Amino acid sequence: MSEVMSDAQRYLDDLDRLLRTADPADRAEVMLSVREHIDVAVAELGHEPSDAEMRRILADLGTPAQVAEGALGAAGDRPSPAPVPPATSPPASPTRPALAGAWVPPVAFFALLIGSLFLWGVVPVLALIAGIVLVCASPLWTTAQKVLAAAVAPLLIALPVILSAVMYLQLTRVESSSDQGITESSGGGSPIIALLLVGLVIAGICLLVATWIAGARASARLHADAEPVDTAPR
Amino acid sequence: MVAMDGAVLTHLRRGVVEYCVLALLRSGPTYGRDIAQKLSADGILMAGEGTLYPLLARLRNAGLVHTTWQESSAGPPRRYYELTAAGSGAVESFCRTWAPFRDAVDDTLGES
Repeated sequence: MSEVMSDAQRYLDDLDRLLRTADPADRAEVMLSVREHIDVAVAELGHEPSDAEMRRILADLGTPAQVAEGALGAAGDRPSPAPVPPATSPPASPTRPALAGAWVPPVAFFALLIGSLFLWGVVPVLALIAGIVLVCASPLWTTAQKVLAAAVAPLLIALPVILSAVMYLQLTRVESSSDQGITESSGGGSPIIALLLVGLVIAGICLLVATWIAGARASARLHADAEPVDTAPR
Repeated sequence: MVAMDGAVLTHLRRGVVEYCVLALLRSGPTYGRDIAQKLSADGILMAGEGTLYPLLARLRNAGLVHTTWQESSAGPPRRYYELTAAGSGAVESFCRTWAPFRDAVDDTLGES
């Protein structure tokens, strides 16, 4: 049961995230109705839904993006209570949930990576800020994932780079009065520290890669068949 | 199943499908899911059953429908929707407007 219900829960979580920018009352109402829809569909089955049955129920609903679209583009489209057709000026294309496209995860990845690695440049700092804002504003990631990507990963990458630079500078100052050649910049005589710092950077990069993958999957999930498809009569 | 252009279809649905929802309610209070299944059966009026719910939220905000809960013996309590007086008026107005509009479009399209 838990596997199947987690499909439903993930659908609802995706929908909830996409509705973040919608009117709060509309958001609550849509979530409530869709939950009820799923509960009723499951109850009608009369038994625990199989994977295939749950997928069918969710597919019949449409993708989270399709459902959310109706709530997002609608702010100005209220039908008037007077018997007058709604005065809508529909956009040329349907409103898409913002910052949920396939471009978001790779752009965020590179912005965060470059920004964290080269923190001493103005452009990388801007890239880092842009990456953080993008990740935080996008509905593709959960809050936990956002914290990992926007705070933990940059720290894991940037701190070792900064520490190495600091140690390198101290080292060269100390040794400028001696004849020894410049040793490993992150060493200072301790390969263990060097390995540790490299390890942290690698961990940070892996975290960003995982963030990219999670974001790409979420985007695909949200937009599968986002265009209205010709469905065969049921 | 005739091929239809996705973007055009979406464009056409706006402003029209909500009146179809209201029209379905003329026969009496209906469960959300029943409305969804009727309207999405052929995939023309709605893309997925879930797209009904934001629409119902809008109709409710506009005072055209109101909702009540009903306990169900088999399963969770369900919400069902019914037309308000304003909703009734809106659907009448749409019906009066739609037939001439549809005919005009057909005539124009048929003229080429």
